[in-house]
Amino acid sequence: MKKTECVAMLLAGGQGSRLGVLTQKIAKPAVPYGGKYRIIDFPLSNCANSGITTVGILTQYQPLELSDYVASGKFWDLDRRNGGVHVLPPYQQISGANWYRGTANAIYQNLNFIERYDPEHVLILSGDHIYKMDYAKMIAQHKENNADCTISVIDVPLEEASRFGIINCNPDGTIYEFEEKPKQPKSTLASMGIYVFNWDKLKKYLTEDEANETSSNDFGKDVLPAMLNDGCKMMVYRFNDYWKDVGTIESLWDANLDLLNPKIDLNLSDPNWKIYSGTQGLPPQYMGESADVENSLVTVGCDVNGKLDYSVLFENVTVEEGAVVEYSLIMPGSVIKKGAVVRYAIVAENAVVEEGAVIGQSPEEISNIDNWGIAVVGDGLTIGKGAVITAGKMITEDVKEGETV
Amino acid sequence: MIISNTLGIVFANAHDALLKDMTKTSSMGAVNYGGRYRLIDFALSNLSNGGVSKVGVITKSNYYSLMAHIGNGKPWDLDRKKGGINILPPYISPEAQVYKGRLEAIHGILEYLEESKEENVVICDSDVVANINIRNLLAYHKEKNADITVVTAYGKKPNGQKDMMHYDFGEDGRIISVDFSPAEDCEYSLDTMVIGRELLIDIVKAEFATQGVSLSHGIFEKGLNKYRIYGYKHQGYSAVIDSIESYFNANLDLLSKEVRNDVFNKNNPIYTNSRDDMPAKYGLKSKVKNAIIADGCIIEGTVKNSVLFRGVKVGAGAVVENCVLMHGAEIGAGAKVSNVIADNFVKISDNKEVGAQTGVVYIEKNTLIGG
Repeated sequence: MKKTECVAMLLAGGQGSRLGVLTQKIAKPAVPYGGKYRIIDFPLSNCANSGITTVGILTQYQPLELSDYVASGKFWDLDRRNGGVHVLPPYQQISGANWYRGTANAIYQNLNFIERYDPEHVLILSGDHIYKMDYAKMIAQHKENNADCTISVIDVPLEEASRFGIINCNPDGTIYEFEEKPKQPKSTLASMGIYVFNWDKLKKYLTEDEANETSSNDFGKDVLPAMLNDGCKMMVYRFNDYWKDVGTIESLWDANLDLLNPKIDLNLSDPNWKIYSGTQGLPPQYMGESADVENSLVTVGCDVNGKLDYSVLFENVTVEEGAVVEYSLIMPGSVIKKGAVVRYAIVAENAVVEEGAVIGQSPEEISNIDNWGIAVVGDGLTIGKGAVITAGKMITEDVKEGETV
Repeated sequence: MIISNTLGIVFANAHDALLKDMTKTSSMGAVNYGGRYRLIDFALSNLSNGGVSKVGVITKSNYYSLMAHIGNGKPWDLDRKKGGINILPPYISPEAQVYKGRLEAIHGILEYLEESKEENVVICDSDVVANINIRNLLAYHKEKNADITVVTAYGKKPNGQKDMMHYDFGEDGRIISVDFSPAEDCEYSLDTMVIGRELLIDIVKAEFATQGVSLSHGIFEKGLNKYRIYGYKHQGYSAVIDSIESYFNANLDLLSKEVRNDVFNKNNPIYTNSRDDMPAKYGLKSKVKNAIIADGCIIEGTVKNSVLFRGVKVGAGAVVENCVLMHGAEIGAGAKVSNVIADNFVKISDNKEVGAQTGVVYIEKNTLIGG
């Protein structure tokens, strides 16, 4: 195996349970985003654009669709003779078979994969975020600082800081403290879950962590604090562009509609930093005689005859005449039939919304705003004629004609 | 199971002259079509969908954009160890030269044909928009025990190619006569045929040795009684691109659902090279009706009865009607554009009016109109 400067390890095993029905059958990184992408397209495209061509993808929960999608990595130009993408599920060893117990344990179980490339650096990524980032710049800063570990951070609003792992650092960027979801945050620098390690240090600390029976085998809770205690040189790398966690229904919905916000710079077809995806073999979209489309994203294979406003249509979606889709995401292959109304909702893949059905409600229609939320229809479901799905409901089975949920 | 005993040969430059403005720096096969395709995508996808896994593309000139488009043939599943796609430019063998006609072109690739093992060859041009079922064509060819089977469409014969053939069929589909004159209500050639590989080699060698004039002369004039030549009637949509007008109409034909469903048959998809653009973005006050829109477009104005390729921008208040706008064309705010084919990266400045009342205006690549 040729020596490789940097190996990326992408943690893609999480269930993403807060996405409910959307991750019932697929892993979170495989969740569709932005009309023609899946979440995992972001870290993989970032790797390819950053010149990192050896990527291990750690899968565990519902890996089938994700493995199929990643395949040989050709969509991201990561089908390489040396390196390339490798899907790494848990496997059986002489000592027995173990699921990945935590983020650190997942990497520990694949130390032999990294060993093959004998890298100088290992980049740890997660499959939960929408962002465009040049990892090469982060690695360059890591080298320049002679750091043992560099953690990418982003400034978050003070009122949101207690939702994140907060990092306290000196003006020169050296880290002196980690605070996991602090009630009274001392800083507003949140960890993005992106780490660069020197390979020898990572190997040492993962091996020690594994031997420690009280450890939960998590990077944030165990490995990083252990390194800090030992006086390792740990630095922040400041990231200032768009970055959004898509771990909840609302944040996923938000991050999609951000693509329609002219104030947000999130151009996914920038020739200098394209986000690649696996779409192929579909004809362009057709806008019919009665289409009425504003403020929306629509992609290949769609056929629109209804009204769209502030919405994202994924591949092969049909919106029939008289149907209305507002502030909603309609995922691949779904059909919104005549006169149906979809508002503030996410309709997952291959669902059918029959004529006259009403899904979701706008916040103004709700007397108590605390009861409001995005309505979600699970994949492959049928919502019967004239059925009504109220705000915030998560639908996991077919809804009969005329029923109200 | 896909075990193909068929080789594909595609002429990328055939009939270039009929679209001479558009093919000035490229070839017929590389001409843009339908929002995200190039004409050669039809031949390549049809062959690939028909189980053909070895394809030679004969080029003549201006083939850079074609080569860039085809790459290693991945989109058509033609990146193969065994077979796969080969670009066959002139000068491929020591005695080769820039060919004049099809006969010389095929003579130039005799080595490729002789080295191939496949029983049959499907030869096609890249000037036809049609989803032709090659599997059915090959089955028909076998069923009729034919030496040669040509694909035909019924209707008024397109009049662009002066040597285009139409055929009279005998009772069981065997071709009994060939005619080059203009005709209505006839079965005319879709520039696609199946022929035995060895027979093709024999005919080409014989014609070449006797300074024969053309391949079709060798086959249809000398061989009509000698060979079993059959016609396979293509049932679905087809368009032969032989003029700017027919090019324009074939694009706008896609506005019909029936045509779209036929051409972009879900079971036999048409593949193309992906550009990885983000989905089309419709802005505030965009108004789009009866239009084909590709990814990467940003539309803030009005678009009607048109086909927009990838990355087209239509500014606020602009009106685009009955147009074909190719890759990266930009229509400025308030501009009015009608009955126009704008080639790649044409820019029309704000508030300009461009177009024709009738017919269609072609605007060359990279043209800037107004300020």
